[in-house]
Amino acid sequence: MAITLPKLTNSLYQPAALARGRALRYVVPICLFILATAFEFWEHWREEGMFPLLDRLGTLEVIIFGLVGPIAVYLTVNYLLQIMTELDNARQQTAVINRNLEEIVAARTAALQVSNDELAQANLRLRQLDQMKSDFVALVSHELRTPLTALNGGLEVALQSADTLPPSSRRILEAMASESRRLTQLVQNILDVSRLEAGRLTLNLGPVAVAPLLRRAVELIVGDRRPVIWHLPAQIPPIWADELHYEQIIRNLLRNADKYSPAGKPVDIHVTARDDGVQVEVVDQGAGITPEVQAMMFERFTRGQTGENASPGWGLGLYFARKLTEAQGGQLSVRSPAWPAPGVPGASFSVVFPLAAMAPEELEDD
Amino acid sequence: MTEILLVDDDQNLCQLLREYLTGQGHAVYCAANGRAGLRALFEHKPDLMVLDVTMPQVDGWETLKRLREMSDLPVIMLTARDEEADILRGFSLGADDYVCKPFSFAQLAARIRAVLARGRGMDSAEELRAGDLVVNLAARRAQRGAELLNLTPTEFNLLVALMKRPGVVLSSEELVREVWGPQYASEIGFVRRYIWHLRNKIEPDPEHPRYLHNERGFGYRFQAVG
Repeated sequence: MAITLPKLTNSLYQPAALARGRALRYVVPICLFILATAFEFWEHWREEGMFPLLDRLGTLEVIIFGLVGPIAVYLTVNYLLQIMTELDNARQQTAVINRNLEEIVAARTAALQVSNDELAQANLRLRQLDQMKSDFVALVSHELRTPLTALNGGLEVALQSADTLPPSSRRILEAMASESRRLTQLVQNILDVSRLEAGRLTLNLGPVAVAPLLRRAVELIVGDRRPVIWHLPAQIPPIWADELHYEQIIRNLLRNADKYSPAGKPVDIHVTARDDGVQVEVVDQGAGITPEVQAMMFERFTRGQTGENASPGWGLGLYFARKLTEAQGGQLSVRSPAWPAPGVPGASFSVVFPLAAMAPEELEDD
Repeated sequence: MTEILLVDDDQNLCQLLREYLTGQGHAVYCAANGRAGLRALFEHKPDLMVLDVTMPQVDGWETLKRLREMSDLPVIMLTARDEEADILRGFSLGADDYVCKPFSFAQLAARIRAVLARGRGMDSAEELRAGDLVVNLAARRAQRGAELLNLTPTEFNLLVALMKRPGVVLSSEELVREVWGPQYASEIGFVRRYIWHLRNKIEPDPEHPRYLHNERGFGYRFQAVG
């Protein structure tokens, strides 16, 4: 982008005006001297019949009117000319500075253009790499599905006759079947993440009754391992969501609460019906989450804990949960500490989903 | 005994499926690619073909296209891609059903039963029909004519609960018992909203329902009219 600076155009500062001024500095005083001296000679000749220089008063008059006036004019014009010359110099200097500035701006603009082009190129390369990564992930996940089918199916066939197997073989096969199901779920999650990022995840939206889904998820994830304290309002309006993905999000939050809570400590579930949606809050009594971890825990491949005490996991769960929530018009947030007592900071994860539109007959009844 | 031709390049999967389906009372032939599959078709004249999409040489799409030029043999496609565009492509080429990998063998067996029953013009325990609505219980898929309906799992269960008893008025409580479970029988508040959204998805004109009727004060009735 080139910048054009305004030029000084006032005619006072033009060199021609200055040259005229320099000439007038001599012409005007000389004319004044001749006129004044001639007038004095004429006046004295007419009144006294003699030339002024022959008496003292006449000489004084010729000096005062014929010389002092023109000298004063000369000095004034000269002074003005000096000011104008200085202004002219300043103008010339400004013009030089302007020119330099324009050159600098042009050079910088060109450099910026080069940087912009490089940045655009780098962006393009990054996008291509990201696309390649997504394609690769999708390809690998697809490729994994065929052997997974054989693996799951083989275990299904083997376990059909589980009664005839020795107990140890049966236990091993059941453990393998459970791990194989987990692997299948992981592959599905990775595929879903890559689809979500590419904007290709198809959502199947409809009304979802929150309470039955929550109870089912709690039964499955928490079971009898720890108490669950429910805080449910009498009426919860159905939300508008993809049922399977909503359950996936809820299960993820429950699994985290279960994973990071000390054994035997309860998990609290608060459900609040709001004007803009239904909020489900899962509150644990774990070690809490520091603000630094909170700031990055929704990124890909990060986990609340690392090191030997960390629970197994992929670090994809919360990232996916938030992405999925946002894709359905909901919000997922974290608050920690969740409890006032310093010994039990805990963490609270909350999801808010919009309400399913009311049926016309419900509106009539209201 | 029904004869099934299994066309898939994954030999392990073929072997395991052959074992499973044989145990279910089917005779199973295997072919490793589309060309071999079409040859085996003439040789064995099976009752149904299970066809993998991704194969070397002649792939599943091409095989299905060539097969449909000469036969209306029921075909179930197997694929590792579960995007809607692929599923629709399968149906437009004349597939009878579509199973995404990884699938459970029991689910495939149920779908084989459903497709075979439909092929014989028999009422299938795996399929419900009313007007131009077709609900495939094994595939958990609902269609109105050729259009695939995007129902959530609960909407699907609700529709099935209503369709299984055509002409009968079911109260909200009965529906909740059947769809969500008896422990929620007192929470009938959300049924109306489910019904309304379901109607929006299945009815050609939700203002004048053809299938799902309100019996004010009593409940809901499924009946295809008009």
